[in-house]
Amino acid sequence: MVLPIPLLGLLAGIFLGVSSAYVFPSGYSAYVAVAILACTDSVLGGIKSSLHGQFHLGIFLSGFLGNGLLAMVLVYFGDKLNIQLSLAAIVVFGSRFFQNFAEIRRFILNQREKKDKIHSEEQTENGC
Amino acid sequence: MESVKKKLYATSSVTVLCILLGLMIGVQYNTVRLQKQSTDSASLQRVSELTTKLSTLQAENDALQEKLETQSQQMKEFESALMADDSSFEALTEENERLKMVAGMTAVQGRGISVTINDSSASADGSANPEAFLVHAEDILSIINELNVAGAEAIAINGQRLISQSAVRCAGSVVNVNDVKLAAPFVITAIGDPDLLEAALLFPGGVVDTLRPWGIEILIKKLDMLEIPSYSQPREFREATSSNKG
Repeated sequence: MVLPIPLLGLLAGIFLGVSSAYVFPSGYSAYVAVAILACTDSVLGGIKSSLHGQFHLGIFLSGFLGNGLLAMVLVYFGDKLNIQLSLAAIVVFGSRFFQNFAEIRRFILNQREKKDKIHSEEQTENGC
Repeated sequence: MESVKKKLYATSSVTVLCILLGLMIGVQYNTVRLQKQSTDSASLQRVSELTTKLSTLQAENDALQEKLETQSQQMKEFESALMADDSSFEALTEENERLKMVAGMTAVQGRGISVTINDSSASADGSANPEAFLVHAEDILSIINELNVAGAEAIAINGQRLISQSAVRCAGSVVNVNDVKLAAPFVITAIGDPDLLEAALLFPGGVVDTLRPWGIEILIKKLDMLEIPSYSQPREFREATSSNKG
């Protein structure tokens, strides 16, 4: 796993997105927001699992699409029922950011020191 | 070999997703920025729009008022021209003048009183109902009623002539008279016998007695000469027609 390549991709995407004249139609903002969360979660999960050598394309893609769809469905029904169900997606994805980031961080740091505690403890955990 | 392939998969798919994520973030950033701009400018636009509308309407109102004045001036000229033409019109003109006075379509002058009523300055206590310390349309109506009982011949509130179709109505913090918004202090002018008019307001248990305890300021002045303007708005009869067939 070479970290700089996805990072470069991310930066290129942001640059392209901002410099483009496109905007999302009004009303879809909330959906895009949770889609961004789901996508970020998948990216972090994918990086983590590939660092652990457990990357599966099927799991990665189904996690991305499934989580994204579920989050959007939550937003849709939350909108209809006047419950902010998107909060559930935000909280879950948000906490997973930190968890995944912590594992990536430890992995990279421990790679140098060669004592990867989290790796052995949470081997069964999957990326998505 | 398998492991290298796997890594390639991982890196490429994560990169593709990263590009997608970046695109979404970028476009969403644009969207949010645009939304903020539009809401900010929308409210500003609304304010300036309304201000423009207001000043346009005011100008329109002024122009119409002016038109009304010039046209009534013209009418007077026609009348005097007619009068000069034929002396038989004199009686008609006189009758016309009298009817206009009855209808409140002409300014009148004479002896009378002016009643100035203002909101209570004691309202700041906040202890009792603050509503009771304000001058209400009902108070004005009861004063007008007393003045009419005492034989007032013409009444105006802050220069708004009361005619048979005038309404005095509470409209939030102001009072509508003839569809014109008036605010305290209210100056009610009435032509009639000053002593009678004053007595009608001051009798024990009367209007002034009921309003004074609330601290509402009432100032009654007897005047030897006061002028009451004419009713300024056009009067239209849409439903009523004269049933006097003679």
